[in-house]
Amino acid sequence: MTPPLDARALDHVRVKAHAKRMGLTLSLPEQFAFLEARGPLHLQAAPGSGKTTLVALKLALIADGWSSTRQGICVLSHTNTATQEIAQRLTGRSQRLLRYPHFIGTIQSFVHTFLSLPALRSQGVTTRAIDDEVYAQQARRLLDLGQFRTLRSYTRRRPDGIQLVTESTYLFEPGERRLQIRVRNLGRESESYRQLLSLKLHLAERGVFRYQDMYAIAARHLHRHTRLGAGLRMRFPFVVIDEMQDTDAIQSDILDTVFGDTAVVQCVGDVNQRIYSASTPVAVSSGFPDQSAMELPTSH
Amino acid sequence: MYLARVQAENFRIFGGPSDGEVPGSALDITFQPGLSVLVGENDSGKSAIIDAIRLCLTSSADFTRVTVEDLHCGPAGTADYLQISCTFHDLSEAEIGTFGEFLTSPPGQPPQLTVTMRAEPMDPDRPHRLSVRVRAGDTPLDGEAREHLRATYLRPLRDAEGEMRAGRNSRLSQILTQYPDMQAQKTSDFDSDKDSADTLVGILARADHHINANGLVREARDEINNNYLSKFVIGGDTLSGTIGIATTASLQNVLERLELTFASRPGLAQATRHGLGYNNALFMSAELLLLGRDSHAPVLLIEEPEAHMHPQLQSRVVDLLRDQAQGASPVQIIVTTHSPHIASSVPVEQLTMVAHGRVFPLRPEYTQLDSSDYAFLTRFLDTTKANLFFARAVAMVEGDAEILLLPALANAIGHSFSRNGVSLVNVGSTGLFRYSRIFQRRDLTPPPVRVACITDMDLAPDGADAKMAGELKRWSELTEQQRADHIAKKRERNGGVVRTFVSDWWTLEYDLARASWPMATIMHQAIGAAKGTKWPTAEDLVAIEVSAANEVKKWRDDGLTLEEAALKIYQPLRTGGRKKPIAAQHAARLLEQGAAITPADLPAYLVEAINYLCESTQP
Repeated sequence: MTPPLDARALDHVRVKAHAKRMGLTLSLPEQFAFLEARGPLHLQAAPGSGKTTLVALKLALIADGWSSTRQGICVLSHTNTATQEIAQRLTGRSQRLLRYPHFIGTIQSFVHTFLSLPALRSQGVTTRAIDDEVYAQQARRLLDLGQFRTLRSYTRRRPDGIQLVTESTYLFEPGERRLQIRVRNLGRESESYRQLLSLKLHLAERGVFRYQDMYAIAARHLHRHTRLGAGLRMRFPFVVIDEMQDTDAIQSDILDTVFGDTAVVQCVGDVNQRIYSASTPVAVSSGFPDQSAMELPTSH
Repeated sequence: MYLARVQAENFRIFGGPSDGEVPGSALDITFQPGLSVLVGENDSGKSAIIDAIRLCLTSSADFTRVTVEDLHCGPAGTADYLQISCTFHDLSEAEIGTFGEFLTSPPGQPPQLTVTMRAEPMDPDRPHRLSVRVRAGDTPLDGEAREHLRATYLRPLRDAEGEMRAGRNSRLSQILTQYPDMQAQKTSDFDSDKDSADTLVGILARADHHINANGLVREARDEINNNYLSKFVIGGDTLSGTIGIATTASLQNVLERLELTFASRPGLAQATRHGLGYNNALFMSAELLLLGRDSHAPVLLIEEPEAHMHPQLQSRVVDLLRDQAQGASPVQIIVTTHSPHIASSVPVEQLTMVAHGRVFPLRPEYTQLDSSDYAFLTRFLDTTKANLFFARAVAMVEGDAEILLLPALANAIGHSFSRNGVSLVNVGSTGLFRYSRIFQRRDLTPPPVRVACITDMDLAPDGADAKMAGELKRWSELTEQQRADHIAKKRERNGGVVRTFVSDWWTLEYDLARASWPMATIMHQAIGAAKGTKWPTAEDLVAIEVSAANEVKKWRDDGLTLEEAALKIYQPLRTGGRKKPIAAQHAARLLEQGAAITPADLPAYLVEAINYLCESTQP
């Protein structure tokens, strides 16, 4: 669907005028190409290319030309810092992007707000903590209960030991009715696995989760209620994803399911600044930048 | 999407939820898309339902907020919170998107939206201050999203003319501001050289320009400024006044100057003032302006649309509302009414009875009415019958004579139908139970209405001649068991608040005449007076009554039984061409003139029915 965006909102003249008001001089054709683009795109931005400033300028232009009060722009990033950096650059009228019906935030908070929190609400669960540390603490305490005896002795025999329990994370598999847990070398039929699931369910019913659980909960919710994805595509016909290079496979799966090909998704990032973190258990999505990506060189 | 359910705890007439032992008195009402009509007597809770929706969703027209007076006051004192929830079903994909972060999607069910408003006193020392939170689950439902749920509200109108008058923040200006493309009128296109203007703001600027150019206005202004205002100046300040109509020529300013009135008739210089009813129609037209055109207002709430309108106009209003509810972009409309005209103009299943803070939808899943009943009632439930929706007690009868006689009989034994809110409904000979089933519920919680179906035994006495008996079975043709079965069959629809009272012998008139010598006298006098087509003169009446009384006395002296006398008295009605309603008129008149009648003089079934209706016996 076409975003409710004024046909001339991203016209060359307006781009120029707005840049001037913000005290920017645009010199490169690549800058204009990105700012004027209304369709889906990938933008590979070199370090020092002034990417964040350009994104903020583009958002300001869109905010000016946006006519709907029921549909919004979705701006996603990876860290709260990156989100704040964009938010700080929004001044005047474009500050309305910070409020309903728009969304600016991390992918994590997007998934939480629109999918996992409504999913938990639908199951009648009141969330108390979505926090890895709180989770680990409570899981450790539960493990001392008699009913988890088998699991407890099993953890003693494993090299990753108690981490198996304190870092157990939900995994959604479309064929399974219940959420599962990813554990290496432990059969799903084993008593230890059964107790691990039961311990996790205990915490879930109390409303205690790990950050990463939210993706599995969201994915299952989307799978069960397919119209939600269609609804969110109508809500956010225009999506900007910043730091696209850091999007992992799980996030990318969910974003694909939600936004599919019908929404305009503009991905911005720098593949050379990809964070390689040993603690990230999941593979980084390799779809960025795509073949036809625009390139933004370092500006001088 | 439509408003499917409204729940309220501790809100005005509605109390708290059930706590396991004490049944709750909280509100839980469901709605269907389209038109819903709430009917019921005053103070039953109709307006509280409308206000609950308005407070939870906010509404147009006026600003309302929760106050301490809204907290339910029960036997345990004032409640310490109130909570109202509105649930929407059937969301389109666009609506799923719009309310994405606020949805609930229970397993196996489509996404729905529940908005909950909870108000609690903030601090015990200042009990009049309430903290109000509006949420969907744990998620605060913020102002702009809530805006999309705002209901349109038409209050019970007392001053339609005033509503459409010009003035600061007038209702008309609010409506027009939201009119499509109105925002294009915002900029002034007044061109002082060409003296032209097209937009509303331009036109106002142009008028202002001309007023300022007017010599007299200028002169007055200058005089104010030079002769007076300048005297107030201290030091180097300058003060000067200006006279005009648009100091700030904003669109708001223009719209607030507009008023909506009836156009004058062609050829007349001035419009005549119209009555309240038509002004009410004008007001409703203005409010409906925004609905139906790709409107996002989910609900239209109308209280007493019948205000000031004559019956035919009321029916037109219902037609209009039903069109809106079914049109191309259907609007959900919830109406409260006291008007039997409105209640009888909508299909029965769209009605919900409200009584003593409890709701009784008349949809098939709630009543024992079957599908043929709905077709029947929608066709035959007319204005006179629709008053049963507003009654405390309903007597369903099968003839006009009962309508005329029952109130008089009740009065004679010390009960008043009007004081007890008893409605009499003549359902003719076919539909007694079709109507009474309205009050029989599937969920077994009966409405606080007593329903008495009063019907005839319809067995001819053995003494009746062939002509009088007609095709009826005679009393002794049936065994005692068969007679009991005959009565049981007439009562088989009893249940809940519905009770059937079967006459002891034959018909109302016969049974009255047979009940006692005083009643035999009255009935003989009444049937005697019903002779001929003309109403007798006062002298004739006296003569008829005296001779009838003497005749009854003679029969009694001659040793006739009441059964024999009753046959003689009843004969002119049965085969003599006398009209039952006319006889009933006379009987009612005689009763009202102070005939000394005790309950013992009346047929037992009528005394029971009257006692039941007037709440002297438990249902």
